[in-house]
Amino acid sequence: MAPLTVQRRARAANKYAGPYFVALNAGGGWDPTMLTDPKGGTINKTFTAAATAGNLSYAPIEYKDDDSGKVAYTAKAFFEKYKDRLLVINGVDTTTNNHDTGSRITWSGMSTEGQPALAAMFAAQQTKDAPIPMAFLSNGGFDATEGVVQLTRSGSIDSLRRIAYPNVANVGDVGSEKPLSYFVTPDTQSRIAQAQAARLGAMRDAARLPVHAAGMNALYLARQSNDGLDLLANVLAGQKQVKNEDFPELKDVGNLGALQSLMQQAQLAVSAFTAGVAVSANLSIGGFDTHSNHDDDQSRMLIQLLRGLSYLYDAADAAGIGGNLYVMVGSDFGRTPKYNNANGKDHWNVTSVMLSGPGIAGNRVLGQTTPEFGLLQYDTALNPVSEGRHLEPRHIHAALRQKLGMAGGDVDKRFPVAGGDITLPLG
Amino acid sequence: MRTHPSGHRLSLLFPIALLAAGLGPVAAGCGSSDGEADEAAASECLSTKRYFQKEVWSAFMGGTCTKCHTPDGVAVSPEDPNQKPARFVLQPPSYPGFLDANLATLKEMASYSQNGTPILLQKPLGKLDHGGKVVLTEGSPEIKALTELVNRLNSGKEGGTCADAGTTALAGVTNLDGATLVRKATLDLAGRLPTADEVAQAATNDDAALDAILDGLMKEPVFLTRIREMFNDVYLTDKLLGYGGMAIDLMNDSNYPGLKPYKDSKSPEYMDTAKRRMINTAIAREPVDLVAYVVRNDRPFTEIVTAPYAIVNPYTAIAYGANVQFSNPSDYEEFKEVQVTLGSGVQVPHAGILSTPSFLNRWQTTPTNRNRARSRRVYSFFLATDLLKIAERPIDATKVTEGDNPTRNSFYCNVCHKTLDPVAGAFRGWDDNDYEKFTPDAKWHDEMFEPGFGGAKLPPDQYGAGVKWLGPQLTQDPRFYISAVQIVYKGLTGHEPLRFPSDSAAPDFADATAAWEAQDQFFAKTVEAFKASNTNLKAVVKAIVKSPYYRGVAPAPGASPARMRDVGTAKLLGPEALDRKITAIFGVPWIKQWEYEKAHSWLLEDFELLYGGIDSDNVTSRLAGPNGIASSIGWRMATETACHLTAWDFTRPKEQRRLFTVIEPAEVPEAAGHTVEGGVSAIKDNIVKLHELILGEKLAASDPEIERTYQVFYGTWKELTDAGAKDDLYWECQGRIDPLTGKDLPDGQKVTKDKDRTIRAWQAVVTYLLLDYKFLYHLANPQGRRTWNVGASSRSRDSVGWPSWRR
Repeated sequence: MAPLTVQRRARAANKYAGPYFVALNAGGGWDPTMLTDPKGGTINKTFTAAATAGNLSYAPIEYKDDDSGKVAYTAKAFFEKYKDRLLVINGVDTTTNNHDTGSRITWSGMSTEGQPALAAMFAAQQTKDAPIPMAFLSNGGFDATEGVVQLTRSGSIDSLRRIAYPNVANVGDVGSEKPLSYFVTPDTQSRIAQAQAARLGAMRDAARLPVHAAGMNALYLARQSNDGLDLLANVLAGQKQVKNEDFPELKDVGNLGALQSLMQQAQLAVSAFTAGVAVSANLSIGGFDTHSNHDDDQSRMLIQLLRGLSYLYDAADAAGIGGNLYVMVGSDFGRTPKYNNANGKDHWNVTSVMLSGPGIAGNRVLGQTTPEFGLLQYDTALNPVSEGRHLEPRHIHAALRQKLGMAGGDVDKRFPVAGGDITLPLG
Repeated sequence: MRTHPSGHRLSLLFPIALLAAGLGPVAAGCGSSDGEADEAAASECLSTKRYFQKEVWSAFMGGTCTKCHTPDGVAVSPEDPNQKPARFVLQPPSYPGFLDANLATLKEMASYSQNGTPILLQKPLGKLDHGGKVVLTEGSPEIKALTELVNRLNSGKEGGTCADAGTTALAGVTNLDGATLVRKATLDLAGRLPTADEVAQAATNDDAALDAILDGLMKEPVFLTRIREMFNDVYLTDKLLGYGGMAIDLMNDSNYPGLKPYKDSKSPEYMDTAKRRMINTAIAREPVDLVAYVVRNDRPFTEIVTAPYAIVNPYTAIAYGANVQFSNPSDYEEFKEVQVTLGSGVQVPHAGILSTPSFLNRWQTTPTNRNRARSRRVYSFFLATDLLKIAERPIDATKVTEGDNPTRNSFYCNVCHKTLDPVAGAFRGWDDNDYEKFTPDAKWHDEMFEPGFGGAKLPPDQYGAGVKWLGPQLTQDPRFYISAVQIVYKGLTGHEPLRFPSDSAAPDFADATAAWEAQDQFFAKTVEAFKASNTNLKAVVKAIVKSPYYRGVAPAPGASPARMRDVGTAKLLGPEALDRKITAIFGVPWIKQWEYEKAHSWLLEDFELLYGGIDSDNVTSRLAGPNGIASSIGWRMATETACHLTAWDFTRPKEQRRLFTVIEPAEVPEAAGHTVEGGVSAIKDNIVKLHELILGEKLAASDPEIERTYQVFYGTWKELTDAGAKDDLYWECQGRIDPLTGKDLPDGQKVTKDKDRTIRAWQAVVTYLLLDYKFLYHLANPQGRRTWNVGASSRSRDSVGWPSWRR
């Protein structure tokens, strides 16, 4: 059979230094009219007039604890603080109201199957010559890789600390003054690793079925990239997993479990970026599919989304990587401009996206919708015209690929996105 | 005369004598001597199905006709409500058995003619008001091929005695021999090593002997665990295991009064957390337990959707208020069939999984969703059909709302809803908010497509028990059986079924198509065997285990990789399977050392998701291959397991050991700077045994791999000896505690010192072997070496109480 195309690389740990990419998914289909494309009146019962922060308009929603009346967070607090880094894109046509297809088109730019997520493609490109352990870290959402990069599921900080030093018995003492105890000596560990690599290589070279060759190749590649977890462990040393109760305004406020999960996802992502072991991360928060009880549930979820995003920005800034971090926030699609009989809103193919990152000019809004929350058509320069085309995720992805330096690269060529008929001025 | 659905008056043609313009008589199949029309297949004998695949579907129909004639195509679901939908509907390759389904459609369509010529041959030429105008030209190879196909279909003649493409594609594949296969299958299906007797039986390579072994394995408890795992990977009902109480919390005690004390946090029953957890588990797992029950008792698999009963064990009996007696009131595996009556007095309309509280609560509905989400799951779980794949064309929501009732009247919506809504309607009566509540006379939504399935309407006298009607309908659909086969196939091989190649211009298209055909035919034959066994799922398991897809180790001579792309397995063991394998080989799983009594497994708890498992909620698909994190977990498993078990094995008499059956710690490779020949020989002999036990490979002591492993031993021993390492073993690696009981060993039995530095060298060897591909993956033995059992069966572990936490 054909020889395996394994790139032999030194086992020295690679450390990635940016830029980084986060895809923050609001799972289930959010309501842009309660966020960055604010529309009151009959479309929304929760507010009457939009608020502004700089050039951004937003829905002035908030979340209060039912029992204490304490305000946990507000859209105003978010947009006032982060308006200068946010580029809002409204009036995006997902062309579908199907959850799976919507997720795929939002995060890959294409509705057809077999497309990797942008986060996966970016990780693949950035590590094609220097693999790292957790290049693409996923907490769910659309995370198809199509084989361009290994996906790593997220775990708790405690679990990762334990496996970062697989040969250290007393992992709790890593980073302290106490001496480390090893199951086998470091020299023996190295001897075992070398013998294993040689044996695996021999088996792989002798494999005759493509399934076997692929399985051995996968293990071979995984072992090439497992060094460097100690870098993550060093970053995690002394860190505690973030909880809502760490923040006075969130302490004892009910129904914010999704926020705590989102902040923990963000904490680990920032730690992995800082450690140089990850390029991109999917963060995911569900609960936006509000076919009933829309106003309460949707606003509670949106507030958690904004507060979690706030945590991500702050954590990245504190770690010194905020200026090197791209963030894309999106959802499967939008929600109808009408309420259904269950006081809910159903699926609607009009949505919005928020972007931030180096070279993306903030405090701006691109695209728009009709007063009825319908779509407009645009010319190639994004000017509204009567006969043009809708703004779609493919246009955003084409522009992002340019911004991320992916355009023309191997992955971009393998998974082309046809977005050249509207040029989005990201910055 | 027949009337075409379009209204044309038609005549039936059997067979066609004169065909489309420019064509002469056409061969009815290979073996015919006409020698003209079948130009494309002149050098190859093709069955009608294969002819359709090769000369029609792949050649043009899959890329041309499907532009409009798939379920969401503009011909089938026209935007203009005044346009009559085409009856010629082609299923896309994502549809299970799409080739057979489309061939059946073509057979029907081929029988309609107008003016003496089949409509199927006129429309693509742009005649008879074909909406797509001219798509094929007269005299083209495409119309000739279509003509040949129509002629075959109308004549009823097959392709003669053609060699079967599927068979030929797999011919010549080298399979694991019986003895090697039995180790793989025993670890996989029963979570243990094979007995010497089983190995001897399998070594005969006699098919009946292998069947008998597999029959035996499928009676063991772990097999049912495997079945539950495979089907939970699809149903995802284990989500309700969450925090040990989610299933109970989702139940309304007005429906199930037996749960009232277990929902009242002040009651003593609530405080009995162990029993409460078991009740929760039993409720959550009722769907997969029903599958296991059907399989264990050799019942027809169809009962998973038709069973007119619920199964209860001692725990669900409490929850459901079932008045039945159990031989052992704490035996989870003792199941009885019962009729369940809700608190309202309404009897549950039992329909296997469809009416279980677990299914209804895991896949909830809303007043506006109206069971559509459940309908989608029904298609996905039981018919291997992803409805979302038939509705991927762009939509314009602003047009969707231009008319009333868009799910029925808008072509953007009804493309899915006309399939989705009837099955949703079969769930009529199940409450939109109180999910396991059933009200037989509840009204349904007249504006939706009528309740039913596949064109059949739910009879009015069945309105009060729609799911009881739906279950048998599902089992009449060929996809029901394909679905079961594919679930087991994926569960055993780790592979998704191959996709039909979409790029006919790809250089490996022919080989990729041959691979797909072979698998398609294998599935078809397995379905036949499944049905012939009265739909006993064990027949499917046996067919797959004995197939090249499970036991292939080398390709057919000269076969390209594309043709062999799904042959053999190379599945990274998931956390559950790896946990079982460690236990099978070492007698002890990888557990947290300070919690012997609770015996928490690292792989089933802390590392379950990181090692590729699922939580049936947010993480619903298993990791296909290792990543850096999984690789590191493998390292941690290897170092800890070797540390914990190496010295412990030396605490026991040699005849009771698993690992070191021909060696003692005092046997060293060198003494006073000279090789100890007997020592080296004994060390290598034990390494040979370890390769057999841990990796399942039988090697001679002179084999290079034994030498490689010996160098790990020797290098470690030499390193420690030259460094003058102290005698004490690291505390955690000492043989002080019996890991089977967690109790201290007698002082005289403890092994805490390693004055000869051999225990640490053996620990390195065990670590090395635990990191091996052949340990971490389902045994593939790609080099074709034979293997056999050398250790005692691990069945005895049951006697030390491990299974209690494994549930």
